[in-house]
Amino acid sequence: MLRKMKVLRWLVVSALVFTVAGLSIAQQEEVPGVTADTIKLGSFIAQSGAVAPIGIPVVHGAQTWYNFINDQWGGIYGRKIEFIALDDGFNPANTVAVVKKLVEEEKVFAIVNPLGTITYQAVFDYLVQNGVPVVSPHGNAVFMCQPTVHTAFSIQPNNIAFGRTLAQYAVLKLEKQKIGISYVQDAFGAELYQYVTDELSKRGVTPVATVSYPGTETNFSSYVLQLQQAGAEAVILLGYLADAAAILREAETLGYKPQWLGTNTITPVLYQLAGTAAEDLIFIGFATDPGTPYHPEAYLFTLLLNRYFPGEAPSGYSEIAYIGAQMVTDALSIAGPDLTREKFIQALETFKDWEHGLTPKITFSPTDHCGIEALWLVALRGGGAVFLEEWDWTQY
Amino acid sequence: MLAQLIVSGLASGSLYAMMAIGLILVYKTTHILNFGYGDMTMFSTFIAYMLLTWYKLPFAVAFLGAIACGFLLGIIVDRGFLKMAKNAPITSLFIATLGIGMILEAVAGWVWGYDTKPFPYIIKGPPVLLGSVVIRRHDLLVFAIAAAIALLLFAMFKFTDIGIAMRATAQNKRAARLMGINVGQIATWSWAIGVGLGALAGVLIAPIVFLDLTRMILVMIKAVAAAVLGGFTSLPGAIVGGLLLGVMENLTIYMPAALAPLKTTFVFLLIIIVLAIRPQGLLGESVGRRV
Repeated sequence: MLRKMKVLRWLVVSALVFTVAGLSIAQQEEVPGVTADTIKLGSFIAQSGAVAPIGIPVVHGAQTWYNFINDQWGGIYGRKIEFIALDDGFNPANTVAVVKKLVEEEKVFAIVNPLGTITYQAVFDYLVQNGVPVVSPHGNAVFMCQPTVHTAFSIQPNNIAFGRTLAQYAVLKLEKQKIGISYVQDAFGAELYQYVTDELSKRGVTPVATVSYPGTETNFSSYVLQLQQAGAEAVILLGYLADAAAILREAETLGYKPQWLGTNTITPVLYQLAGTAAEDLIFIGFATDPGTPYHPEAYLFTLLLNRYFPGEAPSGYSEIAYIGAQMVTDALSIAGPDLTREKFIQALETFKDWEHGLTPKITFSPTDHCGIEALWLVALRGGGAVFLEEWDWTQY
Repeated sequence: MLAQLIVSGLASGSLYAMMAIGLILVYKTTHILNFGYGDMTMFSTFIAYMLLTWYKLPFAVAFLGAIACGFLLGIIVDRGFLKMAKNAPITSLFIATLGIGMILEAVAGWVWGYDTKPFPYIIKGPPVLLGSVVIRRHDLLVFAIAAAIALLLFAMFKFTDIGIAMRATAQNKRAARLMGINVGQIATWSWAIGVGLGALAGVLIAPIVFLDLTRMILVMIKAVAAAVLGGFTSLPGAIVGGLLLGVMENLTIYMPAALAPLKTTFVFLLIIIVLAIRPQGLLGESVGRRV
């Protein structure tokens, strides 16, 4: 009888344990991508084709930080980060397929560190409708954070910040009145152009010349001549690195040397393409140069990147992805052990003056999901980049 | 400003002309429009880049290396790929060349990466002043090389056995074969010289537009337009078409600002108008039709 009682008690206890465990598992299963020991994060990043030189460093930068969190701390509250970065080849049609796979088959918790404006645009509505949080997209487009969408958060400054900063800096700081603009005829160039001209107009300045060129352009001579003939003392370049290099070299041939200003597509790599013609160009940055000496956070980033991807040179692309990953893990940590998508979003909205030493401060709120607002003005000098000053366009 | 626009346009146009010459050479003898030409040019130019930057070899070696690569590539394309599909319709062979181009692009991305690379000018130094007009030394060299090549090819077609055989093959393949001409060998020579010329053009174009996987294709599109404008079978036509296209592009600066985004379209519209008036292009042979 006693033995029967013991068996019965064991069965009851076992049943209770299994029921509680089952309930717990059932509860966890309600949160996509979250299990007792894993948080599954997805991303769409071009790793083949023309955009691969940007996409591969982005994957490596984000993976570096997630690996570090897993190895050093065992993940977040015992859950290891599984980062699934699928290659969409920077083709929006592929992005749709890749994201459906991530959301419907892989059942990821969130989309993090995705790359591209047109690619993100192709899946934006789908992700919003499915309530999938998106954090740290790599792109400048305004739609990424304005108007505020409950599930979507940015890290990079958007084209409003870039456009207005360039115009303000040219007029207020450099005191130029004869300003020329060159922009590429695509969504990126047109959006920037809109905010540059709007800001100039607010300051009572009308551009003396505006030239626009197709993304397929290989001959920039007539554009440069037009800017030169108009007597532009400062020229704002709203295009890509190779376009800027071609324009600068053409101008150097013609002996035309205005104050060039560029957006975040400019990097010190411009020196390799344009040579001395790149000297003194001012551009906008928003993250510390990973090669900055005596900078502990830049050093840690370089060290970790080399640990997980030996031989890979740190770049702005891998660095901003690494910072984006830091943002994601910080929010996961604040969200607590009983992780839900809503708690994750609420955690992000508590960020106030957030930074890890590599970017200007970021503040989110329920009504503001835009990332970096204050920008860093940098000049190309002596073969490298020289920090000039921080510029918060919202203050002017 | 007008003079400068014209001279700068001629400089760009000479690059289009350089590209167009190799394209026309292959078309004249094989009637195949080489859609992979831009990629073949890119690949050969990357060989020069590799010899210059990886192996630190002198520019002359890199220059010859690119041309040799183009030459070999032409032979491989003809003997290795097109001969296999010799019974396919000619339009299918156009697509085959596109496929070869895509393979080369993938290999180039794998070997040399995807980012834009700088490429040195053949001759350096301050630009030359012609009155108030400024011109790069490199552009003067491109003018000279384009003219020299056009003359050499003209002489080859007119006075050498292989040139005459090429012309005969272009006019009537069957008759040429009956006259004892090895038509297959002539096609291979055309491919080798045509793609080799593309490589030469690539080394001259890369200092201006830089080097990556796609820029040569963008120049090739303009080269095709130049060839059409000049008359697709005429080598002097390619030169004239290229130069004219370069100048027309620059003169669109005078279009109203509101129409600026249509600038490129406008140039192609002009070409259509020229072809409507003169279907064989500016210097092309008139097309005879049997009724």
